[in-house]
Amino acid sequence: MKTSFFTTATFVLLSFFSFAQEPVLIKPDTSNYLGGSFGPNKKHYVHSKFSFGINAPVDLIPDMRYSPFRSWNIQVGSIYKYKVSKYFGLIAELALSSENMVFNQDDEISFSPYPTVIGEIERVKWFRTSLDLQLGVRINYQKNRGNTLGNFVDLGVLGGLPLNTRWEYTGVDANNTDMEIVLQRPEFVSLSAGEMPTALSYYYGAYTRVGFNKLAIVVRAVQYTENRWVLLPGIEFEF
Amino acid sequence: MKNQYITAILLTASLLLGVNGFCQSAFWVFFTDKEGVTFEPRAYFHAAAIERRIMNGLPECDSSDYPVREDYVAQVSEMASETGYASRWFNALYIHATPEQLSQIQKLPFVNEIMPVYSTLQLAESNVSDSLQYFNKTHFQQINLMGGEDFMNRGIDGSGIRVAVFDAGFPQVDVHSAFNHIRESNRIAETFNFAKPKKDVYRSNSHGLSTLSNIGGIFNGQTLGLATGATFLLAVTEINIEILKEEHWWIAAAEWADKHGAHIINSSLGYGVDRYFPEEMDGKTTLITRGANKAAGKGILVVNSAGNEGDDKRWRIIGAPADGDSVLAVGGINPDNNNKIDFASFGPTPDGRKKPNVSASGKTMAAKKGDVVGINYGTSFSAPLVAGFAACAMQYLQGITAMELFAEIEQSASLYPYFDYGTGYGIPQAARIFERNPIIEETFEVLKKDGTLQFSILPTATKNQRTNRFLGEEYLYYHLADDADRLLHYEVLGVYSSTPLTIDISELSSAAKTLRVHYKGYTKTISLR
Repeated sequence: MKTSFFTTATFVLLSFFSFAQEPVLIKPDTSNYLGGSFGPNKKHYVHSKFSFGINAPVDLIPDMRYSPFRSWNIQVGSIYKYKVSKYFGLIAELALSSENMVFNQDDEISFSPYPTVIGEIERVKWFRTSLDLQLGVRINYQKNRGNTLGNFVDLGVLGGLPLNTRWEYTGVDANNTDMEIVLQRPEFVSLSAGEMPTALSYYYGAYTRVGFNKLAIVVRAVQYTENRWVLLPGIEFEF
Repeated sequence: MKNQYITAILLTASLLLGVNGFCQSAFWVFFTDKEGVTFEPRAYFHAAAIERRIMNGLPECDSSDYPVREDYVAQVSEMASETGYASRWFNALYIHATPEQLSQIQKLPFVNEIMPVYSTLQLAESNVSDSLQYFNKTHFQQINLMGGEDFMNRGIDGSGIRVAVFDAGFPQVDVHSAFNHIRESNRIAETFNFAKPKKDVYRSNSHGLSTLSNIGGIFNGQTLGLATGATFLLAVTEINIEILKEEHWWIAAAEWADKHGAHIINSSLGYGVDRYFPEEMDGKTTLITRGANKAAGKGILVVNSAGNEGDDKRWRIIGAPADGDSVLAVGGINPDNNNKIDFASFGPTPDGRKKPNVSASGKTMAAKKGDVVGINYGTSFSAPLVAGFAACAMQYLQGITAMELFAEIEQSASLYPYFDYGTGYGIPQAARIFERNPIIEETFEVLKKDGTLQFSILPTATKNQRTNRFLGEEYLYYHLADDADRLLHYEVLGVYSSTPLTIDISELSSAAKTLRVHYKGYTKTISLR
């Protein structure tokens, strides 16, 4: 290792000082890729992820019907993996997450108590973008996986900081006029009327991921209001 | 509503699981013997295969040509979830099996070894640009850099040579006008889609459409590849989304190509990054590389692209099967500056062998879907240029063996005997196939002065152009090698003065034993002992 270091150092110095020429190609440093510790199945690895999914049904708002195909979640971020042993690793992730939750009026409900200015709620749309920090453990259950991520299961916890929250209420008032109320950053708004749930200025949760090399199924369970949690499943691409 | 949701999740999960085989994996099961198996080579092989073996000084057949014992295959098939190709060369069967099934198979007395196959998803590489502006220039460069006109002017077009092309699909090869001349004379001798399996190869990924055209296509009178007179065997060995099996299809295709008398295999495919460790590119670990070497042992010249990971810091080096010592690994040149093209993978192999062997233009004009041509980038397209060159050289050098041809191509290359791990020996030159030992004029001189070596360009430095179309613009190449001729350092320099290189000997590492310098066809070797 020492010899290799001095040889490399010598040639680097030679390139800078001894040769008065203009190189268009120089032998690349081999230490990064040969015998190094960075790679999908090596000691350290950093890669990107992108996931999207349809949120699990949730009873966030009484008497409102959850709209599954308008309620989605996406997440984009980076994963650092530290390989502890062949079958076990630690992971840390930083990601931007967005969730969109849509609820429609139930047929049999004609009146909703909040916000009171809207007599009849037709649709509620909650949107949140946040910065998530996720910490977990990875269990690799594929024995022969070459230099790939292989098949694995992740279990971990997460903490999130909402960067943008927006709640929209659409309906009609007592005079049957279309009304829309938009609450931007509702976690900082205090509403006394009705039974408004409280938005969170930070949240926590847990997650699990079942991965097949570059594809994974991921499920996050996150706190959405003070006493409600949502399940955010998705398909994730590792790249 | 919840039911709908659960159905969607289950569908997604089943898709994912189906792609990857949740609880079962792929393996090669190697058998102990071929006892009792009979084989009649003249009934099995195409006449061209027998002829090729004789030409290469090989027996008509050996034990590796005998089929795998059917009773072994039958027994293992009963125990495995799925079986694939039974390789004669390796006396092995490809299977999918659960751990429980595998432990039962392992106990069979005729099972010698079981080798796991790594599972990944990977897209076939194809990098395409359709900039019309460069068509003519690119066409000229891809042929001219090899001095291809020297073959064309002599009427050498690879006639009589059978070239097998392994790729991800050959859509429209049956209708594209770039192959009219081949179809009109029935020179697509055999086709097989190992991924289906069926004979139809004229669907799927158009990567093979382009690579085939760079071996022997002609479009609107313009030659896209040099072997316009060759006969072709087309094999699909890869699909866009791979499901474990592509390397085993490659081996099956190699045995098929051997059977049908292929002289040359062109494979613009490679497996490395996201699958193997770089250390495993040692020419003996992956079965696909061992299969490619086996093909060479049967007298077939295997030409393989070096790979496009040169600027991928996770990998950078060549993939399998280009790491095989009998595989002609082809790197890429940027025809716009005649230097190594950025993405072309570097050598050497982890065990220090020289790779790539040679290079060709990494930017080519090639056939595209819709009866048009377009510009492609990748060593996928430089390899077929060299395969076309090899077919022409083989036609001219009648009776030459595959490994002799391998050496001829290396020795014909523009930098030979100089090499580096970026471009190998440089670009093969047709003129050097005709004129084996051209007179090479000195293009620079060396002055020893105050413990330094000073290299000065001679005024006569343009004389070697006749045998070397590729002169690397105004580049000077030098490398420092150790006792085992492994390169400790190499550089390519732009020459902007008459003394482009000065080396202070006292500054050099004690491991450096040889200095080689190349400029415009002339190489000087200086011992530093």
